[in-house]
Amino acid sequence: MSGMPAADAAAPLTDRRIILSAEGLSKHYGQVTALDDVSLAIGEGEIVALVGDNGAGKSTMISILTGLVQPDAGVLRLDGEEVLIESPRHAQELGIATVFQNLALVNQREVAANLFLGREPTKFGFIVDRRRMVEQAAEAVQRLRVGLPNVRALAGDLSGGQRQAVAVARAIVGGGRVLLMDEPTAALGVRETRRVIEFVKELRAQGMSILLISHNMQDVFELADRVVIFRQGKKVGERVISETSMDEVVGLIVGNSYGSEA
Amino acid sequence: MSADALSPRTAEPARGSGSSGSRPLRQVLLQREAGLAFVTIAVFAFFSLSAPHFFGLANVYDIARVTTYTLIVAVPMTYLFIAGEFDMSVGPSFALCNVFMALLVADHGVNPWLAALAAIGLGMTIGAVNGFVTTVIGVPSFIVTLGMLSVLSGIALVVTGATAVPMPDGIQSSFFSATNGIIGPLGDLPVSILWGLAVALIGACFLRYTRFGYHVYATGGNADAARAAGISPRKVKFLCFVLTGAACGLVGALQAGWLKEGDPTIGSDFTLLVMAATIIGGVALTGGAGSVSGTLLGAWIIGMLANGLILLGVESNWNKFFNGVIIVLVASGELALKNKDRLRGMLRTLPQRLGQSGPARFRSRT
Repeated sequence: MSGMPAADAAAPLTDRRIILSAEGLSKHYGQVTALDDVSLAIGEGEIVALVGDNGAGKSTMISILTGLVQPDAGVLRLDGEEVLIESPRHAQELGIATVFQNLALVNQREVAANLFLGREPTKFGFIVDRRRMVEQAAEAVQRLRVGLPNVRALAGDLSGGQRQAVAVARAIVGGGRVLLMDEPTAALGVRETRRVIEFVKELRAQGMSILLISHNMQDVFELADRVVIFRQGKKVGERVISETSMDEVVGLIVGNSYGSEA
Repeated sequence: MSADALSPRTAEPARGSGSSGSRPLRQVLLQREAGLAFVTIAVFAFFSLSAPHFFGLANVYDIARVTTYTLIVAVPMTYLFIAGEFDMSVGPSFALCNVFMALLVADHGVNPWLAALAAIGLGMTIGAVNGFVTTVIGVPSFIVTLGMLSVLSGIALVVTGATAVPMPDGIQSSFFSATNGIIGPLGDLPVSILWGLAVALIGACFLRYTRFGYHVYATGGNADAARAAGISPRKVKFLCFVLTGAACGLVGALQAGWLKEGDPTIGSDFTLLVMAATIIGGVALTGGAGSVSGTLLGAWIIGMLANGLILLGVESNWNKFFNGVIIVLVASGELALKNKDRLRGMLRTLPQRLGQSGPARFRSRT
């Protein structure tokens, strides 16, 4: 697309090793263009924030990266290799784990059972090895330092931040190395938000690559290394967090520094 | 900015989106189990003290024997409820399997053991139809199984001409000792009780310890979560329907062995009894929680009531009335517990309940 400002298509502003990248993605729903030739890359141990107003194309991007929908054009690369992400299952197998806004936890079940949902360790192939499950869950929680007190607690008894932690831990226990987090702090109290921010930082320190979708500029500026801005299906900017300001990013989101909409 | 400097009141009020009450969900579930055990003992004690001949091995065996069919079907019904579905067609399914077995033996001379297997197969087929229409076509199980209830009882009546199907008088088979025998050394324990206990024991372990059991809970607790974790809620529900059908086939066969005949009207109250046992046993009406041990107690409570009321001289038709009342009460009680906070708020606004100590007393419990 000509005349697109500040978005030099394929080259991200990072010198890290790129783990997951999307190049020239487009997606149309009938007459509506949800994504128009957008590119995005996430480096190793990097948090990239994806921001934009409602309808900017963030959800479509997530849906493509998790295999829920297929793009009309463009390619996805994982470790530099071109991949087709066929289904959410396939995305998981590739190590792309999503933590959705409506955290899919089974309230009536223990944290450990939630962490291993669908892949419970078994004896003889069908009896759940609960002791091993609880041990492994405790070990994972410890290692990830996500701040969960007790893996035997029922998921329904956890606070919002703890539920987020369970969802994230589950994604990682399942072999995820790229984490897509959709509004992880929405609907959380102040203290719970802090908690989530701390463990997301911890995950980055452990080398996890994270794509963070958020409306909360404070979270974005505290957590992200880079920020990618979408507006009306187009990538209108990409900035290194340390070289930009909230005003500039907000300006890109609403579009007033570039005149009227395209 | 330290987290502790921020308002500590937002800390952790354990507000899982699942439990709307202020108490932890685990505590709610444990209390329900404890309450159920208490009720079972209370009912037993009440009738032991008030009803003549209630207390005694022979009568306890009688209660267990009458309860055993209810229990056998209530076990997989518990699975179904936990997975978020239920089956109203179990009564006629029981009856149809019962006459099917009797017809095979009486008219076609089939070996009773083989006929029993065929009856279980028929039950599974019925369950599979229920499961298919519910999970693949997507019709709510309430509609599917209500329709099936009528279909099955219609078939059972038509194929038998609405009369009982007796098996030949002189028929001999070990099947009959296995279904209506008694074990002398155990105080004349009816064998059929063991069938019920075996199903309950296997059913309880299977639900609690196997992967499939875990997935049953996940399916009813949060189908989206299950799906996201690669579990197929459809498959889980389908299997639960098939298991329920198999149980109907089993009780149909056991009943045929017990009376040596098939009766197309046998299941008329059966659906209600099974539902009552399961609901009293504490399954969550919205799925996701429940246990076989609870259902076992639920079945016994129902059985004790039926037996005890008769011994007290209450006309036996009142039984239907009481069973219905109990279902509605227990279900209301569960929802009331769940919405305890809202109810408390409503109570608080009642001036006569208010008083000085009212709110303080309520508050002190949280």
